[in-house]
Amino acid sequence: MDKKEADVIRSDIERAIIGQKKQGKKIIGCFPLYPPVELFESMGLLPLTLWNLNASIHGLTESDKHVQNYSCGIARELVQFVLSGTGELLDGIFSYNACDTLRNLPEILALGNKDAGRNIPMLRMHLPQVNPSQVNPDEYLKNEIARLIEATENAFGTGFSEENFVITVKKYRRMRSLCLDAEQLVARGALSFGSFCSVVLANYALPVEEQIKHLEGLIAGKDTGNPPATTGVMVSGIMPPPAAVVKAMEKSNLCVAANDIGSLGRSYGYSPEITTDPGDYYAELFAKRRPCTTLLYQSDRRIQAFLDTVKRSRAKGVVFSGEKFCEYEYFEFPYLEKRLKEEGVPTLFLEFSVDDTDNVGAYSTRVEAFAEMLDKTDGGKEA
Amino acid sequence: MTDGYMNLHRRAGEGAFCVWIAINVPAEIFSGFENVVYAVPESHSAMCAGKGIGAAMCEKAEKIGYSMDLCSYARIDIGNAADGGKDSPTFGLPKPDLLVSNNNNCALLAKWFDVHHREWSVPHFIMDIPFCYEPQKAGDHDYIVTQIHELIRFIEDASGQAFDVNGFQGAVHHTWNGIRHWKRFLACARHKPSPVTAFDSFVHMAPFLTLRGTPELEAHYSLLADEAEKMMERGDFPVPGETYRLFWDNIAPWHQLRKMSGRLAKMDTNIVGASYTSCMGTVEGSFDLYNWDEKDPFDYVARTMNAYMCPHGMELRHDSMKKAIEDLSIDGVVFASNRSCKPYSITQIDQQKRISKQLNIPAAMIEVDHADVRKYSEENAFLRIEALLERIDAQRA
Repeated sequence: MDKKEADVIRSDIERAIIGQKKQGKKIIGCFPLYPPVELFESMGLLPLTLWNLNASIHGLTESDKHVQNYSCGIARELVQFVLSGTGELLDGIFSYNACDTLRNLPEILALGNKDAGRNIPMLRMHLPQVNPSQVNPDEYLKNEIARLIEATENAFGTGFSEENFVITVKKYRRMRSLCLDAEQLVARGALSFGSFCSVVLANYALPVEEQIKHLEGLIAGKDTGNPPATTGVMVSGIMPPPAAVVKAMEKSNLCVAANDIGSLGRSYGYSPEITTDPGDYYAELFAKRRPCTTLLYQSDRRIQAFLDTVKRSRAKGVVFSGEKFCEYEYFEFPYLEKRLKEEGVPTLFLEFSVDDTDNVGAYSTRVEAFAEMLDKTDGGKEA
Repeated sequence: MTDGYMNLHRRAGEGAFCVWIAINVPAEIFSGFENVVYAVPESHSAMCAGKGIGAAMCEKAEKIGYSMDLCSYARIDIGNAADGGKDSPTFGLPKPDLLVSNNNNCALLAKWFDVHHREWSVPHFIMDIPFCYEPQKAGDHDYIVTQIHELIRFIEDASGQAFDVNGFQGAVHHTWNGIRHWKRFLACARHKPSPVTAFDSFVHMAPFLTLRGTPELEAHYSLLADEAEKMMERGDFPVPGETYRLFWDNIAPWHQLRKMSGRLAKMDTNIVGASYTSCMGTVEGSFDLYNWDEKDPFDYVARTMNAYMCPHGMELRHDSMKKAIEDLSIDGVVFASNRSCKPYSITQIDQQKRISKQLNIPAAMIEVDHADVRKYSEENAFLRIEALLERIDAQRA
């Protein structure tokens, strides 16, 4: 799948869902970013992570009836998606605790669906947020996974099987491994970050077998020889910058040497050991996954991992992609900027809100200026 | 309150182990230690806002990179900490030896405390309290009790002090008794006209946050309830011509307490109740006092860990508010859409529609920020409140 095909999927997720439903799949919309996709898919459901939906919605009129405009774009887009026509296609909705905004959405969605005559099962799980060095979360999490399995079986008339779980886990390991391979191609300048984003994000609407196919296609034939002359930067945020801004970055000869993006690197960056026990599997996944601001217990590990990644990737600078009203990210940006400054790594902070996907003029100028500065000063140091 | 803060500074200065906590961390625990004191940054931020310096303190945080879109309590606290408590009415707060956050009121509090954790290299203990879409489950209760025990162990290790469960038990009893008087005070609002206003409850909730588990808390609320009852007996009412009885949903607008209450009184309007203060000492889905059997203090604090509004989903809040609106003979509801508190505000649009429809009661939404006056427009808010009063009149006609 190339960028164009991926963008078509992203601009019309409804069509992708309809295609899957025609094959008999039941679609479970999931939020926030790290639902137990392996579990759901092993039980015959297609998990659709409700993130990065801006290309697939048209306006926010439905969302604005329910959610204030000082909520983040992710929440507003999610509500719009579920409570507009596309939401009718969902057979269920799963959520776990994340931020203060998203944890209130399940009931808003349930009420909105009920008012529209849609009776969609709502599944929930509490993901422990204790610091494992202070309180051991494993038993609680395993109980939650067991409860979720039971609830899923009851809601969808499907059953859990260890064999299917292992098969699905292996597929997701393969998918994540391909993402990491593609990430390396991007870092070498052999693959456009824009294309990479489009394919990975389009994959969220597809079964894992198709995701694997599309990633293999994306990687195949890419030049792994001498990389073109570019300036490597790390990009960080809960979502990637809008496509137009990514284009501006590439036009300025910036290549993404590493990404700390919630829906990209933080999602695919770690795969646990294969096991038949989903409790053990998710205990390991949540303990060891690439740190994310949305996982409270990871904050200490995140800072060090972030700085290590900048160093390892030899990124000359860091571009922060701030989703307006995302408190989790915004509490960390100042400290990360401070630490990067201490290390001599320049930063560029860009803020996006739900309405900014097309207004790129100002961003392009800032990206160009940042790239020029990195070129002239060889990162933070004078050339 | 002044004594409380000065005592806090004095004891911390004399070497007491100082803990900063989120408001719903069970502070009674600290009474089980010989020499542990605690501070509540949220309460301090509210006080700063009430004293009119909230915006200035927010600006200090914004100058060092913290977005204006972040909670104003957090910005005030971060700004205060960055400036050494320079403009604080309580000379700031003594530096903590330990930070204990809690994510059920708001998860961002853990991120807020991380700011101090990193700046001062102070340990940060996170209490993870599952959000309630229905009443607290037994498994969640046990999970919370486990965390309380781990927190106690953590403090023992960090402070070098041994925990005495008797001290803790005694403190929980003081809280329990104090809360019973608090409910007695709030119940006075049933009287027409009411001898109390929600603004009284906003001011007097502070001891519950900063003096929890103390005999002073019990005494304060006992006196408060006695006084309210006496005011009722002698016909001394803050809004003598009370014509409109309103209910407030969200955090108090700290920078507007006097102004708003005064202006409303001139309109013969009394906000007689508020979800923010009615929820103290209760459990999910009701503002009725949680009926503790006075046996296990760990059970009590774990069970009432959710005694606030923000840990509850929309259905539970609806149930609580519905009963309060009926109980207090409410004529209209003010939903204060608070830019600095998404957990409180996000479900309000739907809640307003449901409450209005189901109870056939007018409701209005005004825009506020609980601690940053720059995000509040008095005229805008009162335009909507006045429209609300007109709708109440029309409904009566």
